[in-house]
Amino acid sequence: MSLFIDYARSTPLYRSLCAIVAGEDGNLLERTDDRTAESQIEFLRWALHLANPRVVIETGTNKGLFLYVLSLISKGLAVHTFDCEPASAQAVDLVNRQQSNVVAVFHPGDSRDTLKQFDESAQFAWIDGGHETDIALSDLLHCYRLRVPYIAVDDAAYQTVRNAVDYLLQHAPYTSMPNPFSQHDRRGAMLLRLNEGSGRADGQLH
Amino acid sequence: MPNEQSDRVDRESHPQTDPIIFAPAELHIALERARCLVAQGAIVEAIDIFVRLLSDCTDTTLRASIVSDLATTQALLGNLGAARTGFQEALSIDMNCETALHNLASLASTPDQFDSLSIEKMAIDYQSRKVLASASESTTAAAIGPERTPPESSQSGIKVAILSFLFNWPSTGGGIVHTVELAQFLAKAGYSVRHFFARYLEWGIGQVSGTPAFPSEAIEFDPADWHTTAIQERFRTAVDNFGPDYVIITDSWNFKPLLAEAVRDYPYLLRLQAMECICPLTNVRLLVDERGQPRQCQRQQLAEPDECRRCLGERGSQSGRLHQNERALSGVGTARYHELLLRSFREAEAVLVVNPLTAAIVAPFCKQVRVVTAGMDPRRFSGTSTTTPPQFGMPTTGPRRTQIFFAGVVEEYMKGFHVLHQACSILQTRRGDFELVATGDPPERQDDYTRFIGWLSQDELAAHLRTADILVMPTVAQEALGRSAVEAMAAGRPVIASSLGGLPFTVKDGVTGLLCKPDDPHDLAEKIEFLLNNPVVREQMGRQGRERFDKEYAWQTIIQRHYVPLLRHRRTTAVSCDRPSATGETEEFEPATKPLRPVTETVDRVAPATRLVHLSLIVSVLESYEVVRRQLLHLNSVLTPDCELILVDDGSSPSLEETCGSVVKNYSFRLLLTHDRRDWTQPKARNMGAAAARGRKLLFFDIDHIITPSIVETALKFEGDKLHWERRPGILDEHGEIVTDVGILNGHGMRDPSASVHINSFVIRRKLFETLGGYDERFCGSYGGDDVDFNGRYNRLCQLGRARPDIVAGEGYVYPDPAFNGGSMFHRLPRIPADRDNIQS
Repeated sequence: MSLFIDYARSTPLYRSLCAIVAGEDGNLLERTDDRTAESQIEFLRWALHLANPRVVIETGTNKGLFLYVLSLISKGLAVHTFDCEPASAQAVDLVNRQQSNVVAVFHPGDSRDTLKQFDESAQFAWIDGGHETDIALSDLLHCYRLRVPYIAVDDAAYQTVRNAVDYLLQHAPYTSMPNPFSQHDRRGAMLLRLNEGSGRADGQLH
Repeated sequence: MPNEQSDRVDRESHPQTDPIIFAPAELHIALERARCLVAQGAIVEAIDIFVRLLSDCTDTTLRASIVSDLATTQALLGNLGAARTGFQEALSIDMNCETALHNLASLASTPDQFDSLSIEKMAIDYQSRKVLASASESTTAAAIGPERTPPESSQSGIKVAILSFLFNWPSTGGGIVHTVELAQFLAKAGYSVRHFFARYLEWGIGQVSGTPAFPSEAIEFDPADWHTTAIQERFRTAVDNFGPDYVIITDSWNFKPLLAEAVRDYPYLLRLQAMECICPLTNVRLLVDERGQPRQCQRQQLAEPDECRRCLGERGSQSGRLHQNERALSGVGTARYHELLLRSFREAEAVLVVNPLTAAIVAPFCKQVRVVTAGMDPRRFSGTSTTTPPQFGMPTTGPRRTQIFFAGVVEEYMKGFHVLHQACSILQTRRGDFELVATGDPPERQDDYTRFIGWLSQDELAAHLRTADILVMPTVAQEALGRSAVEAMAAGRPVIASSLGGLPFTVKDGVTGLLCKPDDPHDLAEKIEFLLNNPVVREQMGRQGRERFDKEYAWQTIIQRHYVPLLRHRRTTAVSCDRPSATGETEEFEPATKPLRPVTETVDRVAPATRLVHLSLIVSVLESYEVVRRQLLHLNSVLTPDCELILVDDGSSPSLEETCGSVVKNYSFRLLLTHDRRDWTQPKARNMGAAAARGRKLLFFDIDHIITPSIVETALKFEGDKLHWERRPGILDEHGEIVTDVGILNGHGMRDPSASVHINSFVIRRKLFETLGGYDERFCGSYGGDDVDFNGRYNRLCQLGRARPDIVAGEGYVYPDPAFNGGSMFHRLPRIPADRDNIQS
């Protein structure tokens, strides 16, 4: 186990977040084997380095562990996080109160509905909202609508999620970037980059 | 009298698995419910209830009434023969059944042939006669309560113009069917609809046979006037003559932006049927690579015009003649066209698209994008149609084979029939229990497992879908909707479709059908085989498809869900007088449906109706007669022909009519009178001016502010949301000339010569002013805060990302101090009588 993961799993905030009763899926640190956890965190560092974001979108807040990891490896980020799980609000609250590197805004409800209302410029997205193709595709298309330059998709090892990614790659000007840490990542995280010249023509929100 | 036909059809379509015994009170409630369903167009559901009620009902009068209702549903479904028999049966039960009597009389003059106009009339009669029927059917009425006439819809009187540039009827494509049905169902919902289309025989467009069932107007062209300027003018004139509250621009391919330009002073919706304007080459972003293989393009013209221009240069000649012609006419590929294209999207009230992919593509370029799927008329798929599907080449002996149905042009590469045929060829090597049936010509058997049945009419298609088992859409292009897939769902059939374009949003994978990999016959064969092996799954998917159709695709649902919220304001009452909510959300603003206050308007000199006004200057004033006279003179040298001045007399006594009449004006001018002598009624006056304005931009100023050519020029070019300008001290002399002499200005109370920006003088887009609900008139009566309130609401919209922050550009002047010396230098400046030079000829 890496020293970083060891540390990340040792803090009071981590323990508080793990105690929240939310979804049972694996996540960056909990219920994840060490190699996958390490490769996913390195993947995230690499993606953030490329995207250099100020505003981040996350779908699938769950227990707030993505926010937590983000707070450990970055600084000065605003994160809009979407989940229909009510307990996620508690996780976001905990993260906001116990660290100051990221500021999280929780958007409760089904991201297929709530993301529709969202219209802020974001530079990076972490898509982990569900394994159904419908949900993943909707989240991805909203990222395209917002012209998010870098989209990281977790759980692309699931064929249902992969179908959504393939659809986006076939229809929208995104390119899949080879994940340098994929060998040990059992969940198959992918990074998609918006091609040059396919952003907003007028540079205006509205 | 028995009604064998309708009885048989009803029992087949609505098997009664669980007989329900209605208590008397429940029976009446159920009857009322069924009648409401009829009124809403949910005929099939209504029939189901009527049939159940009939089996429980023993009261003769009520039974006759229900039989009559059932007959009416048959009429609404187009089965006039069955309807006639039903009404006669109702009368045989109760000869006083007035609904049956009336409707039978209506049908006496109606031919048996399906005629949508007759059916519409029947539906209306059904509603109106029910009022009478309830009076005679006292038993029913007493239990149900008083009958109601249908309430007048809030849409009543709202006028909608639908423009289509490439229209033919009968339809040459799904987009045209959509246009026709949109017009019909908007009209049915209470809108006053008129459809305008171009007729230019050299291109073969505008060819219409028969009389459409809604007001439709051809705009005739010949080669001499077939150019963009004339086309725009002719469409504009036609629209002006109709005077709509909204314009919807439908199937017009690349010409859409030019139509939008023609009607840009009207609130308009752009309806994309496919990817027109996004992909100027094919509308579906399909490319074929050097090996002849299909390739999906991810580019789009809005963001990458140069790439699309290059693509057109390489492949444009492969398009059909009509497509090439309309591209050339529209100017596709030019900088001017791209500018128009972006503006048409930006200024549209909403862009309506068919699926979330297209929504994501266009969203950054428009104010509002809505996914509004194409509607379908549920009556076409009710299961009670008497149309017999063609059976060409159908074997007369042997067990029935499972029918795999393909509806589309077999020869059209993008439809992917070749992929399906190959998939069936793979399957045929291991089983022979299926048959591929396709709408190909000539109608005859092609091989052991393929049969062509010829091209089908809309009604034949619906009938054939009911006999098919699986519909396959193996398209290799990014089709927006997959109309056949929706029709199959309506008919209760499962669909296998390519995971391309809009199809994954139409076909719910594993729920209403299956998605397959595009252009992959092996994957398609696997999916077909799964459904061949699982008839129970087929049946379940078909049922779920029909449920989805009812929820998502029935026209009535689409009109209510999408069009009613968009088409809800009359244009003349667009400015609300009520304070918006504290949240600043326009959804919570009071809908502007209140009657317009009486306006006394003195038309002094109005520009000809054909002149387009882009900028409306609005100024309200109480008395200050001489300053008004000087301002009117001054504006002669400032306003251009695309400007108008609206002066609102805020209760002057005597009114400003004489002053205004004394000045010759070379610009469009209107004087409005509030007749309100209360203190401070500027909010009301400004709203009144805005309501009367014809320009799409409003310029508000105070009477002590002096507008300059620089401000007007900047305002006309301005494409933002709100513009202010700097003002330096200045006054107008008796000839309306600007005076900036320091000594004179000191005599008018100048204390500070520096420039300033004023909260109350600005240019704003009229639509944004309307979105804000205008000024809050509750501030009338005493001065204080209406301008702060207005700007506060504007700033909230900016914070919500729905308006852009204001900017400052241009320079004007302002009187140093209108109140100086008790107002004697301004408000009470002596009136100069009109001299001969100033009297209007």
